[in-house]
Amino acid sequence: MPATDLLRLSYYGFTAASVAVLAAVVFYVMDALWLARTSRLVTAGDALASWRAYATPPTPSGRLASTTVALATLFAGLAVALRALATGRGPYSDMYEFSVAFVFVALLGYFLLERNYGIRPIGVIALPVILGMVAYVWSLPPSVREDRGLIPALSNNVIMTAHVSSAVIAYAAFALSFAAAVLYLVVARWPRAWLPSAELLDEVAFRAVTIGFPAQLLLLILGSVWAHMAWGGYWSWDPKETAALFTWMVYGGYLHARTLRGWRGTRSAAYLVVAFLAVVFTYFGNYWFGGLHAYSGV
Amino acid sequence: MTERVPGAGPSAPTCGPAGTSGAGGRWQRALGPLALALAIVASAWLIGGREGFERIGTGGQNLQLLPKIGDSAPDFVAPTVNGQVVRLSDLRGQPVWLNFWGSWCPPCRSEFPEMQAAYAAELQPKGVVLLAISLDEPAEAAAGFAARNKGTFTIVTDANRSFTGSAYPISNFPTHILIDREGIVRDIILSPIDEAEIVRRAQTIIATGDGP
Amino acid sequence: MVDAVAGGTKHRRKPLLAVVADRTWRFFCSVRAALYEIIFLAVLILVGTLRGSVLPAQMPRFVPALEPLVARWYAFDVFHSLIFSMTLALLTVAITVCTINRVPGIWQALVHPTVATTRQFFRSAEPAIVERSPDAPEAVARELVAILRSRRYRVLTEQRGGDIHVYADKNRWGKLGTFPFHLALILLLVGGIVGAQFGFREPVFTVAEGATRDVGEGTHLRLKLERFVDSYNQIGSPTEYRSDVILYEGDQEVRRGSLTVNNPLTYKGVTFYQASYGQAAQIEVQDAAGNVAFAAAVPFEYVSRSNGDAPAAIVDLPAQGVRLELFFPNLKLDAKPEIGTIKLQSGELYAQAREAGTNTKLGEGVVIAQGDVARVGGLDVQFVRERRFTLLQVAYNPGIPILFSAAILLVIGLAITFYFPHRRIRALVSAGGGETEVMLAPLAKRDWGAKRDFVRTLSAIEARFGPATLLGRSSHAGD
Repeated sequence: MPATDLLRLSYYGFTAASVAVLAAVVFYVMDALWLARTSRLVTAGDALASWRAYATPPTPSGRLASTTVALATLFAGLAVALRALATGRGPYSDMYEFSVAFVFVALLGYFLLERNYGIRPIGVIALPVILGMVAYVWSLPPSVREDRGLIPALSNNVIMTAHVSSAVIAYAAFALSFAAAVLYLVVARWPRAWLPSAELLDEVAFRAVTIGFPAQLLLLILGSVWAHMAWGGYWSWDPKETAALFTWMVYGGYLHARTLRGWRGTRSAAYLVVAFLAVVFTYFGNYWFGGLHAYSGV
Repeated sequence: MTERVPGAGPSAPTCGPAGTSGAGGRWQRALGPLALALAIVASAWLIGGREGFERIGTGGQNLQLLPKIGDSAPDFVAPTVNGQVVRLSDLRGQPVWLNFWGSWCPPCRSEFPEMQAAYAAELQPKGVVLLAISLDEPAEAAAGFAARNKGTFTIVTDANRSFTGSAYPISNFPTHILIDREGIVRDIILSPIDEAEIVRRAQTIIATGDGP
Repeated sequence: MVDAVAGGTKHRRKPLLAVVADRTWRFFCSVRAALYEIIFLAVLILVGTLRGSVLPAQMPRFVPALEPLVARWYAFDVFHSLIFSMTLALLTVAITVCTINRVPGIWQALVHPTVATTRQFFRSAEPAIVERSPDAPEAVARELVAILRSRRYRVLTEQRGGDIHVYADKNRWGKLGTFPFHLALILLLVGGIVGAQFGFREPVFTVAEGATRDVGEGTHLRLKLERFVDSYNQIGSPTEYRSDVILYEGDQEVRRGSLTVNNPLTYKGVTFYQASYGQAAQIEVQDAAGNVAFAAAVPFEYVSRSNGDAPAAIVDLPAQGVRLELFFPNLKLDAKPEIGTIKLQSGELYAQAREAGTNTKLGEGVVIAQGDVARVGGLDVQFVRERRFTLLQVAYNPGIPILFSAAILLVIGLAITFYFPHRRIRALVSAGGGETEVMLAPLAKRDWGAKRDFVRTLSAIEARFGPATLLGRSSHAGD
């Protein structure tokens, strides 16, 4: 298939993913309302069961929401794959390609999280965050849909693809930990039978950080290997790389506080919510920083 | 609600609707997601139509500004700095080397002696016609520079891009286009050349249809 | 602080040195001190990072009084300042001390964990469960140990009175992952210091086409640029910057090839990186006697002081006691071809001679067209032709292997720490009322993952002893 058709199909894929994410947000909210109304009808088992197999009570709206997320993941994955086929490189040439990849990985991460822990209400927070990223992509000028080529500095397919892949994994994991932490704060104040336990949410947030923290480290390492190859300097205190290092240190602080100082619960959840600001700052940093990552200005 | 179902999650509902086991049930269960997928694809298609997705892939890297290699070179008529007029199609039967340049462009100035050397020593004797088309500057500037640097090839002037602009929308200086005796574009070079490189690449237009 | 003073008086007989060492050690171990160090570092990084953004330039627009502050901000090169290095060093020492401080505790927990437990532990732990069996305690304990071992737990037992205490753990070596990780953090700093101390970096290494330049820095390398080529696509974006070069060591040609932005050229650890490019001029200078004083291509790597858009070059001729200053026409297309008050056409350059050292002008400057000769400062200067130059970075960094091994160590350390979590289970097997009672609980305070692991292990135990009963109160009642 010619590259132009692949680019077009890729954008249709992203559009389908966008529609699905929007629908999923609606379905998750519907499901939460449904659960809140009917939760009294759900019978309890013994406490062991809650660790044995905690699962949000299955509801038709919940199943619809989960299916929609699965479809959104599929379409976003198609969008990334088709574009990579058309351009012959990973999704790293600009903020558009990067953000579509982020949407895909965040959806995939959420999908796996839901499957693994059997908890649905995190979607009420996580999906709107992903929808925000989708909205950001749609706010970009239509010219980003084109393959605009690469500046010579970026033409290192293997390392750049790995660099950007670890970036989207890290940011997606941090976004999910943010969602779990927000829900934690809700549950801590407003415990409800149909909501996952605070302890489980604490675990989910922690697990997400244990994915995001090494991924962020890999992002920093690969970035510096690439800088070393392209410019001869492995570290140049470029604003974006400094911000990424800072973000890494912030999450390092969370891990230390949790494992060494025994920080759990509201304190660490609040920390994670604030820490996510650092991620957002780093993500959009190239807009107000300039510097070596300024290529992505759209 | 049953308890102690290990690993139960939303994807493996603990209490599925009655009578959904077996092949028929599986089909029924796949129907919902399928309908959902179709609805999503349909809305994406509708949005795509309104947003003009059919234009995607014609800009950016895939934007075709110059004629493609293998196509016949679009014709143009333009004046030379000596007051003559050249028409590209009149040169049919001879290999043509088009060079788009400006004396205001440093790499063009830097490669000018290389072009002159390649033209005088190797390509002119083989019948190659070199048209150096100066853009975006007065004819005198191009003529003065060419004279000071002893260029012996034809300097065409198109200060406002009114003669060649529509057929050859140039955004790189210098651009070299090699056209064979049949008027077919054989090579496009979007970087400066040196003597050896242009002599080597010009072989494609010299070789084809050698002699009448 | 009060505590420290009190401690000082109490241990008056302790040698002063020991007290100081002890207090220093405790300072570096202090989590609070580390927190302040990190916050201070974060503030420094923020100041340094925002310095490169649009923010400082915007501030005086809204609050004019901030102008001097902004000027000082620009003057403060945070990342190369002493205070920044000191903070980093302080943090490194703190990391070292803190990590060493944890060794004995972790080692003890790994090698000699406390096996004995109390009934109180099971009352407060969750989820704590009870199993009952008609068999003798010893037999039950044996079976329990076998089940746990089959789930890859290390199991230790201890008999106390009639009770058998069981301690089981797995992934205990995962706790050691913290050491390669923190060692790597220190190695990063070491690598940085080694690179700065024993390496060199020349960020602006310009060579004009046809010219050869010494690398210096104790190497005998010379680099010749044959040609610089920049390529573009049809929409005018650059696709490649390429320098065709020959590398000599002494008089021996050792490398010949091209280097592009992502493909540097390396020889004996010295690496050449493509960074930028520009205009050059090949000139030939003859003195009054007709001897060739200079013949080479000169990179126009400077700009004119009176016109920032006009490239300029300097040629020093020490034998003649002359410094030649050369200028090219303005690069700005709308202002071309003006340079200051001199009307300079494309393909011309302007030459001005000055006395070496004193910088006084030697006569008026002249305009030389490409191919022409003109006399300036008593010398005949010929502008042979225009050329291009390449701007390379040359770097030799022996710290790189250290840095990249540190990076690998970091990843390994993290993977061990996160993906092999230490899991611990305690059990107490005791006889009572003609049957044997087993109490089991994980050490998993507020740790959902450890609890789920425990419950998964429990299913194997239930398979043998039957459904377990929950002990005590649970915070997450089934709902």
